[in-house]
Formats: sequence, structure tokens, C-alpha cells
Amino acid sequence: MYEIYLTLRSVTVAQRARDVCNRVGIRCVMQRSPRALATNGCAYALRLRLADARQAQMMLEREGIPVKGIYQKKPSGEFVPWAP
Amino acid sequence: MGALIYLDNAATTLRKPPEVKRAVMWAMEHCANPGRGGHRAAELAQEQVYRTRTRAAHFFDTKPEQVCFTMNATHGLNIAIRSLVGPGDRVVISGLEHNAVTRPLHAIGAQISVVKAPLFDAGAWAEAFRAALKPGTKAVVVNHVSNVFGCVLPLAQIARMCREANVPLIVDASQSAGILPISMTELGAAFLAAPGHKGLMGPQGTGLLLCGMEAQPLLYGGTGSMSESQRMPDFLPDRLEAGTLNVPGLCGLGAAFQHLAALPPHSTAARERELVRGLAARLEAVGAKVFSGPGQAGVLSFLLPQLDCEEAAQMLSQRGIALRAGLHCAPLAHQTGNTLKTGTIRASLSSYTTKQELDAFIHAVAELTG
Repeated sequence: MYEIYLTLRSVTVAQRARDVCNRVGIRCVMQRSPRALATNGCAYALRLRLADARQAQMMLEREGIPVKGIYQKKPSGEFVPWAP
Repeated sequence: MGALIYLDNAATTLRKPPEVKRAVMWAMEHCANPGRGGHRAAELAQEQVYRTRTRAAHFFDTKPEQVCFTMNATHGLNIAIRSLVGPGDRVVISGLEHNAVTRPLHAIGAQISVVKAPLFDAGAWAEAFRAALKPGTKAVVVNHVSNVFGCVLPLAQIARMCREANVPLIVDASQSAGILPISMTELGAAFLAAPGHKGLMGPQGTGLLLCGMEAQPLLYGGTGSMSESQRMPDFLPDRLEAGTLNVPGLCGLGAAFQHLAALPPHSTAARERELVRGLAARLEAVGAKVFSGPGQAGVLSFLLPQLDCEEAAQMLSQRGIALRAGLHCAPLAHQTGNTLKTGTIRASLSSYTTKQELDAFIHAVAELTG
């Protein structure tokens, strides 16, 4: 289940982030960011597994890809900020 | 009359790689608006646009976010110039610049310093730019290849001078993109503008602005990002891409990049140089006054004795030869070349121009000069 959401500021940044994750074998899905997470309006999100969250965060930081926020979607549907 | 012999590639390349048209048609049936909806047709459009952006970045040795899509080179040049130049700012330009450069500068009220040199003397151009780069210069604008005379300016040297003087450089690559090698990383230019529809072989309505520094938007509107904010995003490419992109055009441009990347390096430039050299000699042999010189790219201006340039072009058109005559939207270049009064007839080649077509062209010219 892809319960981690990395929010990114634009579709281009999200596509780059996706490519970085895919390159290291992290499976992820790119989609429009849930409205609840889109501070400042429209944004994009990468969804991935909880187990991959730390590695993804490190890889994106290394590549200089700005991540707006990282959230975990709870079974209740609520989004809570995620930290390693 | 046989098939059209198209020698107006400096205006736009008419014959494109077949995969370009296929990509455009495919996009018109499958691609919705990228970066807006979250459905399949929007995702397809997003991926195609991103693919073109990354191919362009690879082609010009830059990062995908620094590739901004425009309608054409003129659009990109306006963004670049307005990002750097204000009223009264001193700007150094070559004497070969197109109206896409000179008109925005005039509209802004810039103080324009024009560099002139013998058309085909690259060394003289370099020295002239060196002399013109005085303290207080806000920007330099250089036309990599003249759309009138085909002379190639020493871009690498000029770029180095600008870097050393810490003066931003704007490159008009309208006639060189897709033909001469260009590395944004090596140039260190502030901006480079190119049309998608000339040497890059993409559809009309596409262009690129490669951004080496911060840019100011020309258009304000929706970007599919940060939409609650009433300011344009402060990051590229969104900052410069308000409104719906020309997705079918960009799909075609993406296919064009793929086509160009598969060609042997420098092959198009070498071939066009050789063809132009031969063409110049043959035109002279049939009585034309030809503007040619060392290192000339695939653009050649000439005049026919006793014939107005527009009338001559019209007569050649009636013989199936497509050329452009007049001032080519570059009166400054004609001033530099002393052809402002007469204008010139311009033949411009592409990778699809054949020797047989040039034979037929010379034959038609000989009929007029006969």
C-alpha cells in the first residue's frame, strides 16, 4: 500500500523525482496532490511505501529535488506529517 | 512545373522527419492538458511534454527545469531581454540581429551599442565584441548565425568574454539550433532562445528558452501549480509557462529531438557548409552577386543584376523555387552588409536539400540572368 505522500511543487519536479526513485528501484505513483496537502494550491505528489520513504527522501535531497512535505495517510484517511 | 524546390528553411523547415507528423497526429487524439487534470489523457500529455523537455535538456547540455517552452524564438527573446534590460540600460548587440532582438530593445528604451565587423571574419567579430564590452554593460545579445548572410559568429569566444566580464549573454540560436553544436553548460549563457520549427525540425508554434538565470514572466496566468498564490511561481519552467502549452507541437518536437540525436554528430552542419560553398560558386558563375565567406552556414544571400530582389524571387517562385527576398526582418543585418537599399534574395538549406534541387535552382537562376 502506497501510504506515503511526498508533495512537490510542480509536475516537472514530480516527474524528475519519480525518475530518481525509479532509478534506485523505489516504486512510486505520481498523481495530483490531495487538496488537503496542497498548500498554496495545486501540486503533485509521489506515493510510495512506508518502507521506501527514508531512502526516497535521501535520494531526492541528494539530487537537489525540493520536496514540499512528506505525509502518511492513516487508515482513517487522515494525513499526518511523516518524519524518519 | 515539377515539385516545389524549397529553399526557405531559414523561415521554417517545410520537410520534417515523418515521425514528427506522426507524433503530432497521435497527440491530437490522445493528449489532454498536461499538469492540470489527474486523468489518463492528462497524464499522457504530461509524460510527452516531460519527454520533450528532457530530450531538449540532453540535446543542449542543460537541466530539464531550465528548458522552458515558448511559441517561437521571438517569444523567448522577448522574455530574455525583458528579464535583463530596463530603460536606459546599455546593451551590446551584433550588427546582425533580427527584429526579434532590436524591436524589444527599442521598445524598452535601451541604449544599444551595435558591434560591426566584416561579415565572415570571425576574428574581427571577436575583437569588435571585446572592444564593445565596456563597464556598465547590462547584457550582450548575439545572433549565433545570421538569418540573412549565414555568417557564424564566434559564440564560444564571445561567451567567454561575457563570463569574464560578468555580463549576461543572450543567444539567438534561431538559425543554429539543431545544426551547430550548442552546450549551455559550456557557454554559461544567461539565456538561449531557439525556434522549434527551423533546424530542430519540429512543428511551427514551438520554441525553447534555455534559462541560465532567473527570468521574469511575460505572460501571467494558470500554471497548474501553486494556484492559490496570485504570483507566478518563482521556479522554472512554470514561471515562464502560463496557459496551455502547444502539446501536439511539443510531441512533434520531442520526435524531432529523437531524430536529431540519432544523426552523426556535426553531419548536418558539414553537409550544409559544403552545399552552400558549392552553391555560392555556381551562383557567381551565372552572374549573381553573392555574399559568401569562410565557415558559412546553410544560408546564402545573393542579388541578380538588373533585377529587383522581390521581383526576382517572384520569377523564381513561378519556376518552382521557394526563396525569401527583402529584408528578412533584419534591417540591421542589411545595414551591416550594405544591402539595406536593395535587400537580398536568400536561399537557405536543410538536411533534406538535395544536389538535384540545387541543380534545378541554378538552372532557373541562369534563365533569369541569361
